[in-house]
Amino acid sequence: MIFRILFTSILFLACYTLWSQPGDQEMVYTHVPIESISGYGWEIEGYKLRLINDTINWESELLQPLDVDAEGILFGVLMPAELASSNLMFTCTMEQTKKVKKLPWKTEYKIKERSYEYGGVNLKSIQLEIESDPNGAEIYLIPNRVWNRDFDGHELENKESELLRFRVNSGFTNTHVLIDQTVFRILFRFNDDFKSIIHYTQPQSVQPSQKVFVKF
Amino acid sequence: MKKIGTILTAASGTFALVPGVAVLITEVGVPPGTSSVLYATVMESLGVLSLLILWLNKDKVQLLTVKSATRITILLAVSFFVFLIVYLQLFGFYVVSTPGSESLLFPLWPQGELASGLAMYDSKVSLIREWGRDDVFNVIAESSNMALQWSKMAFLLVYVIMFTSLTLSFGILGVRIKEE
Repeated sequence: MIFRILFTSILFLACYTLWSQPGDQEMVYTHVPIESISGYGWEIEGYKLRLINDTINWESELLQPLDVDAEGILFGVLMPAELASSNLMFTCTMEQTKKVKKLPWKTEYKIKERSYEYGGVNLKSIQLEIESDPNGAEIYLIPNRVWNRDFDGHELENKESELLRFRVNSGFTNTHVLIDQTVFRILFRFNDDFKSIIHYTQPQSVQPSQKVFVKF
Repeated sequence: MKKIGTILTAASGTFALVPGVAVLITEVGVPPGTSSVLYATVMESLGVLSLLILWLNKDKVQLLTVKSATRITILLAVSFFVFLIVYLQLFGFYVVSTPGSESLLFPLWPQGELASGLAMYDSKVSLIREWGRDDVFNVIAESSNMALQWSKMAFLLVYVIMFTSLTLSFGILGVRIKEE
């Protein structure tokens, strides 16, 4: 009897632990713009966002930029919705590596790693609901400035790899993302059929939650 | 006459101190993204400094003829109006209000992607409408940061000259009239 109770308790605990894994948390996708800084001779491997305090210890995966030029970097990050809406300050680091000789007179190299701290990053706070009929369309969230510069007037099939960088990776429609007051060109893809709409984002004080919808 | 002189000296003191405090409290005329504390501090310091210099040279000021004192005062008053107009023009042209969010300060010399965006859309308002307020803010910060810092300094310089002219014009009259 005691063993049965013990076994049931352990089973319950195991199920609860699995159920409450971070993988089951609601995730949300958002864009983060940061200043472009030189790697100072170091190779830039990617960027990471972190939120570490007494109760939270969260770190993003290694993020690759969506849009890079001499002036700025834009990357997309998928994070727990609870953290994204917390208004807490995240820290951003540039993850770098450098190939250095093990000893000055030898030809063997080793890889040195370091994290360059960018400082604090405030996340976006306008919620954008993205919906389509039928559901299950892929979504690409492209700032209108980047769309006009890199995609407008081009065949989208030829821009597959560039387009992929802007794919919202929090899932297919219907989903939601966090955005700032940027005008976005939202591209929907369903069975290789593209539909795009332009979203003129309203200020958060006017409309904290906004919605776009497309029918295929 | 001495009483009028005292009133004018007090007025100059007021123009040296009050605008700085008013700026600190109301942030009136301070471009977005600029510290109102910096504006207030610079204005207070220069206002008091100009009055101290005037006080130090009061013997020379008292020796001025009525004609010279009037000419200098009118010149300083005209300078106040000229710099006021310049400031209002600068503010109206380079600060674009965005309803529902904080206004945007554009640099006097746009560079990089900001310059090409402005050339493409012809006006700042159109650029904000087509790119979005926050995207334009990021592009300004990334492509024209140095120009933006210089623009903020130009705004501050015009603002400070404007109020210092007014302080000095009242101060000179005050010191000169006290003598009579």
